[in-house]
Amino acid sequence: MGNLRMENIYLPDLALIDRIVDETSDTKTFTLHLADAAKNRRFRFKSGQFVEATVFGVGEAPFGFASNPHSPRQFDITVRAVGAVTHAMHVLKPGDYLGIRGPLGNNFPLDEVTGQDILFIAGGIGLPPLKSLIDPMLDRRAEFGQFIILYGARTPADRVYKPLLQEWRNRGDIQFLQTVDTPDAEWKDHVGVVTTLFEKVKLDIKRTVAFTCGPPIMIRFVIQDLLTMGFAEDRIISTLERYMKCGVGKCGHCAIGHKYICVDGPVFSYRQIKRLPER
Amino acid sequence: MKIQTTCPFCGCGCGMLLEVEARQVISASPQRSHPLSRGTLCTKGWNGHQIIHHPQRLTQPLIRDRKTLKPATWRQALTLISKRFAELRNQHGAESLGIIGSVKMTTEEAYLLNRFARSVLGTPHIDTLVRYDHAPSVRVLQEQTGYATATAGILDIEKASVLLIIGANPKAQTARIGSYIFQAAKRGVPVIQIDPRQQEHSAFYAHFLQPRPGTDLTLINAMLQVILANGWQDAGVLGVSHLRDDGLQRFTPEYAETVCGVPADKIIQVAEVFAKSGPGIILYGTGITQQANATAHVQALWNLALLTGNINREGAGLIPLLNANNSQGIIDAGLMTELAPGHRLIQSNETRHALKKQWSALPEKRGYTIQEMLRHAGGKLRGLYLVGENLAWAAPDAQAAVKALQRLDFLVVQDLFLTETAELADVLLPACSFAEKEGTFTNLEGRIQRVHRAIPPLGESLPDGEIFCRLARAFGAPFPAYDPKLIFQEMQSIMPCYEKITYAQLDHPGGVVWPAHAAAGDGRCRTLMGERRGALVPATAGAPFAEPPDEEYPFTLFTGRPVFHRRSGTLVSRSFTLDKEDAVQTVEISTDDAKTLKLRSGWPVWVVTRRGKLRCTLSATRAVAPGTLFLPIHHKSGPTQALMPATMENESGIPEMKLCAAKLETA
Amino acid sequence: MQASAKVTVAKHDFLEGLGRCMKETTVIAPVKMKDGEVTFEPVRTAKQITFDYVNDHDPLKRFFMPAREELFSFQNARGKALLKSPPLPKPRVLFGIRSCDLQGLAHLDHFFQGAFEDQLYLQRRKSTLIISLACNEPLDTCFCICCNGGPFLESGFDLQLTDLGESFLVDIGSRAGRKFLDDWKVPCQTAKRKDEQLRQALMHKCDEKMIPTAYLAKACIQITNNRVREEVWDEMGAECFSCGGCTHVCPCCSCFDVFDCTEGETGQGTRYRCWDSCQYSGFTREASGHNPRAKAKERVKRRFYHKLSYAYIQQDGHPGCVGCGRCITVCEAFQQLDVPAVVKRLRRDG
Repeated sequence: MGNLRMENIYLPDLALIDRIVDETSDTKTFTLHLADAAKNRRFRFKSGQFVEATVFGVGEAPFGFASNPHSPRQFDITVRAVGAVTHAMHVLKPGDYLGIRGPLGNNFPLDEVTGQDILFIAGGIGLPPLKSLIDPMLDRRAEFGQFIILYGARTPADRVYKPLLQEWRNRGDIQFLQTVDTPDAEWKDHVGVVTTLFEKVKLDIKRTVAFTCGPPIMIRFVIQDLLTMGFAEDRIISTLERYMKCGVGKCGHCAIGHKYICVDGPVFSYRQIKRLPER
Repeated sequence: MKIQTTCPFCGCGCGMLLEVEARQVISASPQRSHPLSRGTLCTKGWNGHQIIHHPQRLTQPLIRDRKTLKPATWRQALTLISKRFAELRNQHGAESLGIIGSVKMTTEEAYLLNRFARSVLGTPHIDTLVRYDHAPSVRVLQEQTGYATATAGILDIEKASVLLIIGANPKAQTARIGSYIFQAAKRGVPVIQIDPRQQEHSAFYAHFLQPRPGTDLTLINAMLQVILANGWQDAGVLGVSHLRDDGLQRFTPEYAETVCGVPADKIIQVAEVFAKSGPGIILYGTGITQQANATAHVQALWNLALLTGNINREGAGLIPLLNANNSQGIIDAGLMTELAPGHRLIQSNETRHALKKQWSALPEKRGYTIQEMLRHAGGKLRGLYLVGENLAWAAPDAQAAVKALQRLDFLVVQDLFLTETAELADVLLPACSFAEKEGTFTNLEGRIQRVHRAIPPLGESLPDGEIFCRLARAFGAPFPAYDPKLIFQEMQSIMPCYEKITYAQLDHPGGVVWPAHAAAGDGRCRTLMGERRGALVPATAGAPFAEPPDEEYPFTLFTGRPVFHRRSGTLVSRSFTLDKEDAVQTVEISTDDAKTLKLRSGWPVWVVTRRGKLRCTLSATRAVAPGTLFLPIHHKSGPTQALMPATMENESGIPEMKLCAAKLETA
Repeated sequence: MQASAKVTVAKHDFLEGLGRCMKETTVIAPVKMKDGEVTFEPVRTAKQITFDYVNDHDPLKRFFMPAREELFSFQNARGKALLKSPPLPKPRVLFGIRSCDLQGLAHLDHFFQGAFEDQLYLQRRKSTLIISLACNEPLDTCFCICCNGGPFLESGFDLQLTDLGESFLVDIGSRAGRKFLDDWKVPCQTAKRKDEQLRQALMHKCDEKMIPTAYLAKACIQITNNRVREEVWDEMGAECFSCGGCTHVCPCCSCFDVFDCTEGETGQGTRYRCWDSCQYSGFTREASGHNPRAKAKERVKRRFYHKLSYAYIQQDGHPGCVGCGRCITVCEAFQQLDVPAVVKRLRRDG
């Protein structure tokens, strides 16, 4: 009696942890590669896609890719400890392994938006998935018009990728603005919710595509403001989040209307989001 | 392969099929032919089976070696127990030993434990957690009818013309009964609900009264007063003048309005509806029995039932919503310190006579209740055998209970899991689940039903009954190998209520409702009392509850049962699906109070009482009245009962754990 | 849809053939339990099989997607984990399955294929020969005629039997079905015209006995266009006991959750999936505590959106209901939230 010869879509591949970076008090970035060398060579993903990561014996949870799809043979996921799986991941060390299934889900438009002005609005832990798009776009900086990144967090300490944010600030060819709800003594940047940054930048609405990711409540206000500014519904791109288990459209948890976030998403334009029966 | 058995969660006793695949129970599904559940199960019924194969199941005996519990053989564990208990008995007498039994055991096991405790160990200190739920019901119903049990069957709800639910949430606690009440409401039967908290189904009931917590007794007496004042009582009922003369006069609806906060005309209206609609059933829960003067509360409800002619009548009666799957079986088997098997009082001569043949010895007096055992722990009480109850969570003022258990010389715990209580044990015995044993459960209407073994015991775990037999033999008592059928027959020989039943009958869908002469055993109109009538006993006296709100603790905190959780959560929190349901502990506050305190739903808060504090998520709702807080019992994040007082009511020994003063602190 | 070949077989001949099959292959068939109810179980002789039943209270999806099943097992070791998929299912025969359940399997077949193929389900499906038994007698809860779920089907079976009294009219729906008849030497006669007429008559009789309780069309329009008043959902949400029974017994429901089980400290364990229900609040609760469907009302709405909206009907090719009527008996909110009851409420609302 053999085992399933056909592909078992629920069976993960092993991935080894190369590096772990502490981002905030409850968030870490894991750099991984697949243990099987051949598989790792073939491993390709696109900005906006995600993986299901397993701690064997604890469970599985989805994470968006947080690194440049073009960086070879490694990928990052940024993990905030909120549930059982993420807490278990946080005690792992470099050299430990995880189970990985993916890449899964759809992706952000990239080639489709060349020539456009680009606006990113990220909140807290919503930056990592956008980073997987920002990185390759900045590699091809010349192909885009104005390039703006707005980032909001609860406190300065809650910001992820702090060295990278500094790099962005120092770059002359992009505009990077950041704000926090509650500043500390050293904070010299903006204070307030991320939407307050809109008045600090000049946008050519008609030629701008907006990408936004963050807590559901933030996304709601961001989209509201963008629409008021005159953004077309299909030029607002966001990601949706739900409790997700299988990642392959079978378990039913992440369904909104007849769309499954794991296969039809996680990336949706506001035009698509608007048509979903529950929001 | 499907094995028919009885649901092990609440007092409804729904019929259930366990699906077994390669010696593993993989699902539970409802039994369509069951007269009560009729092909339905509640959330807990569908998903509770997941506990059976939980990886944390205890599969071998453990013995304490300094700070840690180490694996041991059954022989080692039982020898140690018999040695230590014998030592304590020699030094301090048999009364230095106590037994607390589980309300989830089979009736056969409860009977065996009772016999082991009283005739082998020779201690009178024996109790169960029925004490915490329905000790006052046991006392009043035993006194009035001769049997500590409901006077109506669950199916009587279908025949009733009016229903009164007080201090209970049947939808959450006993879903099947909740369903029958819901169906009655949809048919147009007037349902009266009296509760300090509005429940989802309250909207479907004809009348919803929301008295201030702790004022139910005044409200019930006002209903009695209105009925008597208007002459709406049943013509045949005796002793009315006695009731009228004894201070009932002052419970006018207007007075009750000032005490309870329920409009006087509403009280008159529901009194009239209940008295004049025809056969009526009163269903009540721990909202009644865990208050101060709990026995008076139950007596007042009895008075209401009797006065309106609702005793010994079809579609009528008084139903205490006993909490556990086998609370009734535990009472039947006499596993409470004031009782002996067969609804007899331990102190009566008749009891001694009836048990003489089977039991070698029998202590003549009643011993300690749970609260008394805890109080005397380390003093008069030295050794405790605790079967299947997580007192560290279930006991009121739980920290004090833990300290009490720590004061003991020797603690034996028997459970499926390493509970907070089991961690304190000197010896821990692994019991097996309901799916791994044979026997019977008796539901809250006295329906005796079979439990069938679906899989062999996991690891070295054993059925509780088998453990009791082995333990008795370790004490040199001639207990044979555990055979539930033989034990059932032994119970029949001394318990009149089980007398006329054949063992084969128990395997019919729905088993048999005792007394077995009830037509076809379907539980309609239990004719328990024969010629007995029961009496109206004035129940108007009583101090308010021990801990009214004050400046420091301005809220009245009361507790109730949530849908997805049961008791201390030892079982349900280990069902993957149920555990997911029960994600956060919420405390409910009125929207008005939330506004005043500038608090919002979803915020973390501390609920603080004089005994401790619990971190919860706030939920602002119109379901509770201003000045009150509602907490579900329990949640895995912390024991609600730890906040509640352990003040004991003398009449029944139940702690007044329903209400106390509390405050909120932001977290 | 391909018209299937038809033969007739004397009943005892068919059962003898099935009996021969049992010696080599697992045959799952309806048997009586002690309480008179029927359940499907592996049988050893044809004598165990009962024909005195309309349907099992449990949906037969459990033979293809068990209430709990292994996704894979693992052994944590130093620096790696050893993973193992579950074994391939053995061939078996499922005898006596009713049309509604078979139609439910067709629904699940479609769902478990697609971009990601669920081989755990599909391999079980592939290794199972299905002999269905069309219905001459409906239960009073049946409404398959409203959802194309029976009482007789045109396809989906390997063999479909119709009880003609002394004999079965056998529709041969697949090559495997024909092979079964050949392999187990079941003597067949070509079906005569009168046999087919007899079946037609039975079908009409059964149709007539069935009260078409679920006129789906209007309810589908109401749901698709979100035209149902919120108060109607509010009321249904308040009534619902959130027991999950309706989804557990539904032949079209397939949602599951996933959990790991480890054996002590050995590092050895199994990842399982178990049936889940969209009627439970834990179904959509996120790790942060946020729950987009925290209220029972939203969950009831979800269930009917999935069953009856055009978006889903278009995607699945069929409403998410086959008219088996199990949700009627299983519902704790008695006769309020089953498909016919809700369809009626939605029709009346607007």
